[in-house]
Amino acid sequence: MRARDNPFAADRVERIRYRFAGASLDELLTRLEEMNYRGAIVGPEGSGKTTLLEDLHEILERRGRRTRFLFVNDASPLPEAECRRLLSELTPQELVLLDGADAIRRSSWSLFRRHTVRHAAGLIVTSHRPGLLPTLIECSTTPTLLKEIVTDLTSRTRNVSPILLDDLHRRHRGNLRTCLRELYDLYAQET
Amino acid sequence: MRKLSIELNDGKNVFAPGERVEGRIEWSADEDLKALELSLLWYTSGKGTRDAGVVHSKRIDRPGAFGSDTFSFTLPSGPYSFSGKLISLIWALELTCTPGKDTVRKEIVVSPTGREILLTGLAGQGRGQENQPGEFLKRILGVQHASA
Amino acid sequence: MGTNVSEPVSIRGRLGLSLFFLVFFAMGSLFELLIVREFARAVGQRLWKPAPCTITASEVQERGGESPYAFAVSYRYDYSGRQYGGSTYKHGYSSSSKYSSAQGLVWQYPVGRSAVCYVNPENPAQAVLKRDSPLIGLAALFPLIFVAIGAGGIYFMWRKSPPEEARPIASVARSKKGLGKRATAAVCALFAIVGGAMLYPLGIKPIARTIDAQNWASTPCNVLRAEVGSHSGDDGTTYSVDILYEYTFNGRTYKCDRYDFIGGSSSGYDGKARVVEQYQSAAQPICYVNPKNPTEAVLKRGFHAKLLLALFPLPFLLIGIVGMISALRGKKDGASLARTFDVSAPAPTRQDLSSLRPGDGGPAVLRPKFSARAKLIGAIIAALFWNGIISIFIADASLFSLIFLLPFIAVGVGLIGLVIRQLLALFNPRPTLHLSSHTIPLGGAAELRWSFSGRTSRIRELTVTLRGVERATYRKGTDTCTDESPFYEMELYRTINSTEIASGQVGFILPHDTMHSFNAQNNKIVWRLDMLGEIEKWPDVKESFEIEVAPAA
Repeated sequence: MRARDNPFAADRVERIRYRFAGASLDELLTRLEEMNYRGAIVGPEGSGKTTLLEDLHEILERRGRRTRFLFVNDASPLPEAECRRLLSELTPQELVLLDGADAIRRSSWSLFRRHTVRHAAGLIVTSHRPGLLPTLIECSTTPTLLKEIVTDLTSRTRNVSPILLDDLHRRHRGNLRTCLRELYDLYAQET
Repeated sequence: MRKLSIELNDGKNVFAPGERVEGRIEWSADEDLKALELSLLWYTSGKGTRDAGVVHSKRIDRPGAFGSDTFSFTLPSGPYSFSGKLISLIWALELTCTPGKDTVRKEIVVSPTGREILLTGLAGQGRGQENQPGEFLKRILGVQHASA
Repeated sequence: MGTNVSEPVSIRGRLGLSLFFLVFFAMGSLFELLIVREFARAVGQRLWKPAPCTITASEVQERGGESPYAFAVSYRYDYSGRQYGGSTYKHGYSSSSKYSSAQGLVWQYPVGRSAVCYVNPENPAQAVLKRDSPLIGLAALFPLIFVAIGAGGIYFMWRKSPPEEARPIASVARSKKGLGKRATAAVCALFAIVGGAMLYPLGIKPIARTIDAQNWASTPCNVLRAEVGSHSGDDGTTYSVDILYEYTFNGRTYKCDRYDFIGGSSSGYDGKARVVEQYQSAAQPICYVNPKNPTEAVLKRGFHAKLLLALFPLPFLLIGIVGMISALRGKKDGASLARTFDVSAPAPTRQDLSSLRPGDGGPAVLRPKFSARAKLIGAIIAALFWNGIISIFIADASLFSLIFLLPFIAVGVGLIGLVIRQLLALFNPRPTLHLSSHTIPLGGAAELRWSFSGRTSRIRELTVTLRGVERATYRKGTDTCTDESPFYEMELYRTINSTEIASGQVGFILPHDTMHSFNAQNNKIVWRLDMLGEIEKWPDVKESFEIEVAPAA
């Protein structure tokens, strides 16, 4: 199967937006407002934190708020000098969305937290562990969620057996990202 | 209601590297548009994060509410349109307008073979051609030996 | 297919490792407590009041056992109007294994001399001639390393708090994080301090005294006693050379038992027995006396192999200093990426890809990525470092603690194995490749010439293969994963002929209906030449050379 035809290609997976189990995006936004736009999206790897933050980014922009999206990972760990520069560029109306707050250096994080209290409209972060900021929402995944997503992605090709998906979810400990990558490989083998 | 379209001359959408891509664009909208941008680009799709490269672009300022224009771009020598197991590379023409985010995309194939290159997994097991004369001789002698 | 970088750690693994770190933590804390206690006592002693005293008795007493020579002293002192008698030289002092040390003290505090003693204000009957040094506080740094390793290890193991709902265990912290710059520098500083601290007694002191001893006067002496002393430790017996000799210098007689400047004891018996025999049978051996202080003498003063022990702390010192410098200087991190996401259209990026022109440039010489020498140096440093630390523990370990040390020892052995393998590989012949052109177009012809340096006769069979692979990297949030999938493989050459192996050439034509080299940020098409030289009972020669394949001409 050609890479572009693979239902689990990266660009297709990235089009899947965050799915709420219970609460809705509107409820989340209300909660966010109550928390004064300061909070953390917490959850294990592959549970949708980045996706949710991106969704928040889009809806906030659509509602007319000015936002600044930053992300941190091993390739760009946001050293303190860079951090200061970014913070100095901030305007008080901007909402800062920081993906990967727990990957940032301690010193940079303290800077962020302190500076955004007065010099920004808010700070929403993603983190693998709670405690950086009050928890806005805890992300988690279930085998049912995986099945829903897989059904959406494979609507035009043959379906995957639910038993396989249960096993997949268990083996990857709920990490949807790695589940979907394994499904990519599975489909890539076929002609 | 906005309508954007890209048409290729003679409907030709398969090109060899270095060829010219020619055609016409048309647009119609309810109000005057600020700008139009036509790009010739490639992008990847597959297991990896998307990469893209804009090779040519043409911008039309104050195009009015409706109109048409022609375009002619020369393709570079590469990269070819290809599809493997992990990566596909796709060439396209993209027309966007401001205000708004309307986009229309027309896919083309850029390849010396007239078709998208398929990387189908391991192939081509064999010996190298044009080995040393010594090897060649050996083979001849071998053949002689067998027939002797 | 492909390799996935982020893998969660099983619970069993975590428990095992936690036990491992717990041992570190426990041992470190225990030693830390002991040292802190001594330090507290030393500091307390500093508060004791000095009082003049008179030495009433002072001599070297010979008792049996491990440390047979004791400095026995008595003195009288006045405090708050009352008179007391003391006999403690120093807190915790009982005796010394060296005659010269005890003797030296007698000379320092001869009978009749007025000296100063320090009295415990809370119990004036307690007094010492010499107070403990608070410098022991510096030693407190050392066990902290182990406490830190232990605590840090356990913390990182269990950092992920389990979620509230019942579901499979969440994955553990990423392994790619590593220590921050300053933490790394601090750890390296500790190593440098430990290395430096060891350098003095093991290296600088003995060497300095050896140099100084060149001026010492050679004096004939009488051997009073010569035997191999045995010291039973927890892990067995160690031996030392015990020779007591008498000599006359400037009209006075002295006794000394120093054999060489390093002293101590070790496990080899025979070597020491030979030395003892030598001195037992010698009529009038020569000793070397320090003219500035004739109580000091030595039997063996030249440079000898044991002085090389001075080199032992060097790796620690080097690693500590180098580590600190590189950690503090740090790498130039890439600029942060602050972008707004546009989900609909592909984000155009500036890539200079269309600048590939077929047949570009002249011939190219290809060299392998990491030289064998560099790999060997890396392995040596790692092995020295690890085994250096382990040997400190083994030296003093009882059988019980040896069991705990087994996994460490296993790793140490593994590292030594790696060094050996790299060393062997260093003797492996190394290929240099010459390609007829730096860039080869698809469908184009090229000639590859290779030559091996080194003992090429050892290569049994050589295979040269041309391979093309797809390489895709997925980056999302804080995660990065790279996968590879080969799409082309062609064996260009295979031979067992030793002349051809040593140097040879092959012409080949690249296929034309496939993809040329492509290099974008996340997606790549890579072409490479793989050389495999099989060697019997030895690591094979394996080298890869990336080549540039251009679009068809």
